[in-house]
Amino acid sequence: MRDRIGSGEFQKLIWGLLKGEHIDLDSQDYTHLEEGFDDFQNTFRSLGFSLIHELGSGYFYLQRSKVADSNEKRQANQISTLFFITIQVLQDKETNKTAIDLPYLLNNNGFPLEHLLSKRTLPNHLSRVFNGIGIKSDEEMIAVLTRMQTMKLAEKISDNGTWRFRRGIARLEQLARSYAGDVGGEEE
Amino acid sequence: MSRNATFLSILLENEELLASIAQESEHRVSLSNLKERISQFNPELSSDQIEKRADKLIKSEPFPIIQEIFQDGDVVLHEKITELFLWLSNQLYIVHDKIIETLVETINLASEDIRQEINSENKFNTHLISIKMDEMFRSLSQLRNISEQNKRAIATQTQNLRDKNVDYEYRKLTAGIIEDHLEPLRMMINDDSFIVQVIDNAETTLGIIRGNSTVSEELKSKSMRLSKDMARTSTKTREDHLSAFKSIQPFLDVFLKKQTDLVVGSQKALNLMNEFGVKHLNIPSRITLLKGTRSNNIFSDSAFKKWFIRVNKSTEVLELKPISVEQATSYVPSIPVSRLSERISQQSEVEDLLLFIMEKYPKHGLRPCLKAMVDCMVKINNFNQLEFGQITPYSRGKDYLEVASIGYAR
Repeated sequence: MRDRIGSGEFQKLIWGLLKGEHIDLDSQDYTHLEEGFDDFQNTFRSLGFSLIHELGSGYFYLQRSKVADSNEKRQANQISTLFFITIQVLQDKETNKTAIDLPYLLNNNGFPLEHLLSKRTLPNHLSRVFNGIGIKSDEEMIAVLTRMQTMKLAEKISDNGTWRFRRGIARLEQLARSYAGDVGGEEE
Repeated sequence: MSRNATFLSILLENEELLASIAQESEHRVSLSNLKERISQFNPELSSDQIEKRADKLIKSEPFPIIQEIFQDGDVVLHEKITELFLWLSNQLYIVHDKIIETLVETINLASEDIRQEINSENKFNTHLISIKMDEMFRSLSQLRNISEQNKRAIATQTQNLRDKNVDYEYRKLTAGIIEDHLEPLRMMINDDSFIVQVIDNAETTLGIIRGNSTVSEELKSKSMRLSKDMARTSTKTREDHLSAFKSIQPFLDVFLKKQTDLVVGSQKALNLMNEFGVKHLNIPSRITLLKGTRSNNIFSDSAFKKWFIRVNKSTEVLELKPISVEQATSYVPSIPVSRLSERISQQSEVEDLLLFIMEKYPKHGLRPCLKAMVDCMVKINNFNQLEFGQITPYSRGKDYLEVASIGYAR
């Protein structure tokens, strides 16, 4: 596998990971990463990255130990906040007793996110949160979704603004759950 | 979070625990029993967290939810807690299902009495039947009023639950109480509810009256009016409650349906963002996302290839060469250019700089001596003090060189 990596056979895959893509089970490259994990890991370690394999959720991604720059922080904040707001909106929309969890999010039929997260339909208090992190128009909201698509966290599946989440979204799901245990101002 | 919201959230957090204490005699348990109960209802809590939870209940503001009785170490549920729930229930203005049941039971009893009277072997008392029918009219009228009142009250509560200005905790607490009130009322809207059954039975009784030739036309007419009234009331009561439930249910679900950690976490994150700003969440440290357009993440294809070659070379197994002690060479330190250039500049004249250096450092090779000469020339940094001579041969060991001699004159 090391020779194949060296010969440039997986350049597209490596480029994708370096650009922030999450390679999940649906991708053909998943098997390559799985089989040559050690060689890929060595390759990325030399570049200052760590290849993370979320075995249970079925996806790979790169993590960098270096502190993010302000631009990257802003982008991480925007993507995470958009995700939190999506969860809120889906919870409010869901009238039956369906639990909003990871399997629910990974539904292949997706969600009309462009409609649900539009300034026209979003409740005022959530719209204000969007404004606070620099998403001030529907175009900017779609740009964040598109960025998530580049990272293979989400995917647009129809022209009417329906998007589906991909396995990599488990990272954001874990992030959101991490706050559930944090009790603001309390020590429990 | 405001003090009231904190207080209500403590109440919500410990709802089951408080309900279990409320069932005890005098609403009283020992302190150790309180902690045991906290542990039972929250198995995920550590002993330290259980202590804190108990402490939070005892020290809650504006008044302690659980009061300590210092004489015997017991704790008691504060009387205001039960009052609070009662007050909140009264604020709903939703007529209790027991009252509706009582009215329906009144209709049922009147209907039974009428049937008993008609079936009696003696001549039946039409006056008594008329009185019982009036009782049924009254109950039906009350039922319609209650139905109207509940419809309005539930609509008001729906608005209250939608009101974002009201604390989330307060709305959640109210939603729980509304749900408790509505649950028995849901029985009414079913096709086989007790109202439908009672009305069907009463209708049969009234049919018997109308079919009896000995009954006066006046009573038959009254029976007809009562039948229509019953059908109208049954339909209205069920439809009013059905439409009211439909309007409130989505809002109740928001507060009452089981929320996953994902939903709770997202809510908390957004609340924290609202209160302290997004930086407070420190998201990038929790989730590092790579950004493709960042310059130091971009490698050209050629750079990448070179890097691969380097990595592959570095990972090659090194062939260890044996070290021969016989080939040991003595260590030769490098020529100190600063000191040497100083020495040269102290001389009034040096005819041949390279020869001068070679004589000073006999153990150094020709190449280091030549390099030292150039370094010294740079160090002296005065071209006018240099004099170029004839081509001269220099040799040391196997090295041989023929260059113009360079002299120095101050």
